Amino acid sequence: MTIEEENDAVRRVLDGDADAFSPLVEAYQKNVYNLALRMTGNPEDALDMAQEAFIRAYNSLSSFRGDSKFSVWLYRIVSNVCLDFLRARKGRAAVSLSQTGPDGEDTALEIPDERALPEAELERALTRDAVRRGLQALPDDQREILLLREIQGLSYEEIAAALSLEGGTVKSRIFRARKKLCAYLLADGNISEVFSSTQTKEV
Amino acid sequence: MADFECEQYQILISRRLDGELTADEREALQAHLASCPDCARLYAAFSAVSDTLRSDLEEPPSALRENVMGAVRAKKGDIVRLRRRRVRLTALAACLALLVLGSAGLGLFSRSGGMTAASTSAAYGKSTSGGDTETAADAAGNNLMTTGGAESANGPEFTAKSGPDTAAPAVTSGPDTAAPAVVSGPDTATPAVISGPDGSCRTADADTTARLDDLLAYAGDAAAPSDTAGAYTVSLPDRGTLTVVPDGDKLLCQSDSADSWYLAAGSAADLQSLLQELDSVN
Repeated sequence: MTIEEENDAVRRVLDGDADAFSPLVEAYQKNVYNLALRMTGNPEDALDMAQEAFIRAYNSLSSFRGDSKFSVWLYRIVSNVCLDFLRARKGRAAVSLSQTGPDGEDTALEIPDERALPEAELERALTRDAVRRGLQALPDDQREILLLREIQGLSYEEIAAALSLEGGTVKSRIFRARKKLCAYLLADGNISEVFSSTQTKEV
Repeated sequence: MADFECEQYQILISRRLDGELTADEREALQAHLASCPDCARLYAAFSAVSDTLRSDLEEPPSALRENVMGAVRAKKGDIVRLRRRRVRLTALAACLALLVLGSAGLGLFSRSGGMTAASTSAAYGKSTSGGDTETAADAAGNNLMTTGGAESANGPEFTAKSGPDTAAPAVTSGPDTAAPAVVSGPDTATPAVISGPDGSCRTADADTTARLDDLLAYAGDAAAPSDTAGAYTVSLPDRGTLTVVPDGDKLLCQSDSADSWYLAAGSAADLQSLLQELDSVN
């Protein structure tokens, strides 16, 4: 959707045309769902949170003023919904955060000899499952910001606007998140020989 | 020295993956990577993780769009409330939790007559406090009824029916009383507790709790209010304790887990009419 189309859809919804919300859901459901999926770590909660986020967006659409992109405004709501949920979940302490998806594929690394691995092939060595686990191990604020960048493709400026952060904080928090995620993967045995001793310092 | 330098380049690596480097920085980084195997490896690791994250997208279930649009179309113009999936799935668990919690609460009622809302919410936090069997059975009946008919219910299952003068101390005791650990199931099963600036205290039923949740949904950032004398304290099962300050027609909120203030989706008038409804039920 172009910005004009988005703004047009928003205006029509505010004029009472509920169906006009549909193209917005269509356009963003994949990103919203995946953000929720990586924030919560499981598909059931992700569906709940994604639905909740869209409904909240609908209910508060009149507060969208078009001075930021609709996507940035929407992802901020998704983030808030997920963080609220994670706080409540931690409060209940009923769910282990170390859980990942139900596929349990964490055995298949398919790397006979990591030392011989050309750097270009490192990506294949990193199973999605291991990276997902690593994400869940990050502090909420680091996971949130990394996902806004990697999944939603927001620029630093947009992230700063969405999270009310200084540009310098965005830069350093994303860096710390990456470093911590790599440190996790290293400890988890998913990357070795990638970090030299200088990378094992506290991040 | 080299470490310090490498640290600076590592931040450049991160920024480069995000397309946030100037041409000069890019060039400098390139030169460093050519001469520093450590940083070159870090670059490989960062970009591998980044590629994995960016490519790991799943298709959303069709239920997402269907549910959202279904809810939106059904309630044109009104505040939309989504019936939560888990409420259905764990209806039985909810009934059990309510039964236990309800009996604990009513047990206290029967003993102390004019209990305060503060002790009500404390009672919700303790599934083990012994209520006597008679009131427990009573509570079970009530709660099963209202849970089953949650859709249409304005059922006052949680309305405090204590004496006429229940001016109670503000319930500000934090998340442990607000969201009892024992209710791990549906979010709508625990009632919201609202204490007003005048010391009044109201306990919402399930339906009102859900409406309150929507009303206090995030709708934008806000500066901190200059005057918090008119503040309400709202304990929401899903979201901890919120401070809610009417500001003209707006509602400004602050969660106990965040410093910043936000603008609520609902207006001050919405909150007033919801509170009046609660009062009229009582």
